[in-house]
Amino acid sequence: MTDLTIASQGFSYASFESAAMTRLIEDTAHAWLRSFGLTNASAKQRLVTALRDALAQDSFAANDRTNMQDLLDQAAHDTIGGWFAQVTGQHDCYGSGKFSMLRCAFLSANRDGIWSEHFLDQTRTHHDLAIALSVQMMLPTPSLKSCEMPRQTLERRAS
Amino acid sequence: MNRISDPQNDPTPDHPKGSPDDAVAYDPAVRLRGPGVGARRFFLFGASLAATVYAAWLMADVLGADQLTIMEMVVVAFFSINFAWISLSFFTGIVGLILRGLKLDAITLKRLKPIARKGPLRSKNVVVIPVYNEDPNRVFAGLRASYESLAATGEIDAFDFFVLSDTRDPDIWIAEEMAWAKACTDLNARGKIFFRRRAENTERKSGNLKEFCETYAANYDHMIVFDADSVMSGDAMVNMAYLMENNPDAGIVQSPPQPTGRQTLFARILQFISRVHGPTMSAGLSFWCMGSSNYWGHNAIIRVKAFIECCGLPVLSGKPPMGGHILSHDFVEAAFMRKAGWRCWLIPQLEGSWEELPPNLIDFAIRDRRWCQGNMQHARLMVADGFKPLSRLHFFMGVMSFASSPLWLLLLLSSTIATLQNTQLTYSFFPGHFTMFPQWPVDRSFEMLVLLIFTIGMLVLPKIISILMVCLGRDRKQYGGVMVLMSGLLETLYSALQAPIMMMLHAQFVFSVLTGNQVGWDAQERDDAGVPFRAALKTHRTIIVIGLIWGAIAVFVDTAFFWWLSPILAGLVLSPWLTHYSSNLAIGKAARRMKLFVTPEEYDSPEELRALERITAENGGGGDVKDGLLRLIEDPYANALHSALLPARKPDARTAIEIGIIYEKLARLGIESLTRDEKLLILSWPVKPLDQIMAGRDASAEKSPDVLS
Repeated sequence: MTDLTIASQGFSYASFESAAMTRLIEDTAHAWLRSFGLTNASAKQRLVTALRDALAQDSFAANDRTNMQDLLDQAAHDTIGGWFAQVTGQHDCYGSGKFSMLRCAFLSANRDGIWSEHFLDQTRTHHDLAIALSVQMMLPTPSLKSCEMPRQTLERRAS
Repeated sequence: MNRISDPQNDPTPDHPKGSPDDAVAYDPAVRLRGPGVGARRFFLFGASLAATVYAAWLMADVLGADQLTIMEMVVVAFFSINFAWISLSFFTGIVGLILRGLKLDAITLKRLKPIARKGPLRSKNVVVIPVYNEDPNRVFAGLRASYESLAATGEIDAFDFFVLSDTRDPDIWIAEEMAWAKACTDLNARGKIFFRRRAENTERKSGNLKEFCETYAANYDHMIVFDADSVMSGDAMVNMAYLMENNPDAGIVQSPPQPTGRQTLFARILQFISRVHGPTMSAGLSFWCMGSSNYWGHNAIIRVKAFIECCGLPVLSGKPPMGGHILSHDFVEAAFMRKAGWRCWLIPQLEGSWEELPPNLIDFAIRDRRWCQGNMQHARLMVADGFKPLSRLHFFMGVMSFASSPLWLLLLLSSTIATLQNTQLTYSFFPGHFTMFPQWPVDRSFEMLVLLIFTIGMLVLPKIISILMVCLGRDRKQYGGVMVLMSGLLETLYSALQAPIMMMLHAQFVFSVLTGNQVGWDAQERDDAGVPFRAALKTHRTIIVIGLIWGAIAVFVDTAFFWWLSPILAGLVLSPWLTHYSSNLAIGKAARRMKLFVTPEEYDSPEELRALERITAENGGGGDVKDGLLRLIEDPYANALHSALLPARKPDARTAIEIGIIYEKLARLGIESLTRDEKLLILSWPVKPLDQIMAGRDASAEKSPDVLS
């Protein structure tokens, strides 16, 4: 029975979730939260819920652990990226570079744990967090300004 | 273009588009121009030539009193070449002494006065720090000290900083990233201090800068190039930018970096004499080079547009070490700048420019070996088409800084052979036939003495006068008071003993390069590292053997000749002791307590050096370079930062498989099992699998989480 048929028959996904799947979702959530330096229970519950929702909305071969893992990772990435987009008001929060920068900024801003409760919370306003993130955002390089540096030759006068 | 400043008929270079010099009145007080460039060079080269001719004649007279043998002619030839070299240096020093004594600006020949800026900077500048496997703590301590000093001038908005990493060591790589982030945070300098690492370090340092020029440099008008150990005062950097703004034909402005910060006896001696005598030589060089000065690779400001347009280095035909990529790029870049009509200036009065020296003779020699390989390539560029005559002279001087050693060695060896020949000859009182008048032996001992004094005088007189000037000057207290004389005397003795060692090493390096041997690219030792006696003995064993054999031959030939050679032989035989004890940190510190080899920075340290010391102490004297991969696994921030700094790309299928295999090995056998290249490979791509390992989610990691620690 696929998720699609479960959904079409009106059952909730969670009621059919196997123990292995629960473990996988929990571990995935734990890994992603740890990469943001978080142990907050509310944040974890929100991410777990988001992952379950993502699984419920998708169909895949339930016994394919690799695919599931990829799907969960992608779901976690998208969920957090979406939340960052909501917080910062910017839409380009999903790319690996920007996403990592925001992760850095969040880790810096949340050193004393004051933003842990806010993580993935869609109901709050995040104006202060947005300011905190902008203050902590790293900028590795300025804007690219490409040009060619021609090789000189030893045979002619330089132009 | 100012015709007074340089008689050579240069084309006026284009000014950078949009740069502040398009429609702005220049400050005449800082215009780089001066009278009589041709006369200056005529005097200097004329005097050098005259002294060389006189010395060569004296030598021929001494050796050829009876008759000049072929070997003696060889001696005269080598002597003349070497004498020309020291003669140029002597007159440069004499001119520098006069300029310092009269407190004259070497370029304008007017009364020396500090640069008084009229208004804020209008240009956008960047300080670039190319690094390769350097201690990140030291690199960023220097950066932070310079940044703080610059901020204190109020001109920080006109500058950015850019660390250009070519590092191949995975642990140092991650430490650099962390040090960069810390510097940005501590200095509140996000968007002011940048970091980028090259995935492929082709063409070494020049390639690193080239890549920067082709990507980000066009955002700036000027770039100040640092070495990994450079520190500059804010005033020095702002003054350099100000000079560039007001001299639109200047391509490079070089400051004379002063060595500082090392405590071993070896480094202290060099720091002392560089501080005492360096300004003399800088002033002299600036006097006759004018707008055709050289670029020393760091602590200089460069006009970005000019550099991009005309300093892309060619690849020399043939194989390394004489062919291939140009290693000592700085001289060549200056030559290309001059070729395109831009001027290169050395400004002796630019203070607050610092660098560090190798702590001991072995590391000094290792650096010289690398430089030798690069400088010997310049022999090919000397005759290349289109370069200015003075650029060719700089190339020649670069070559001679190493090639003079084998020439001195050949001179000494040919002298030995000539003396040996002379002892085998029976003097003939009647060399011709049918004469009633004998030809008496001619005593030339007085002329020999004159020649000896003349030669030694050329070598040491400017230095001695520099020391005396400091001793008689008002700031002698900053050099240890009257102990400056003792420092000068000991330095002269030390350099006399070290000279033959360097002669042998340089001769060996030149021979090695000419026979096709190459050296690798390693970071310079930047701690006060000592040399154990055994290591010194091992390094110098050949030199000792040569010294002993040479001494034995000299005794056999002529006892007087042995004593003549004894200063050289002493240096060779005593080389391991000299190297070992001069590298000793305790002796260096003891010398400091005795006010020997003291420099003004130690007496009254400038703000930027105090900051450097403070920041280095805060970092705990280094040791922050941990296992980079482990750090990423344990520390989410380091992990996120590293991911953010990686270029956005995806591995191809083959690389993805390789990465997968390495992660498997990591999970099963632990971090210690990975080679440096394996670590580099997995660190070169997005680090999502590390998150999995962190979480203990990966099956292998779950089984044995402790293998990672």
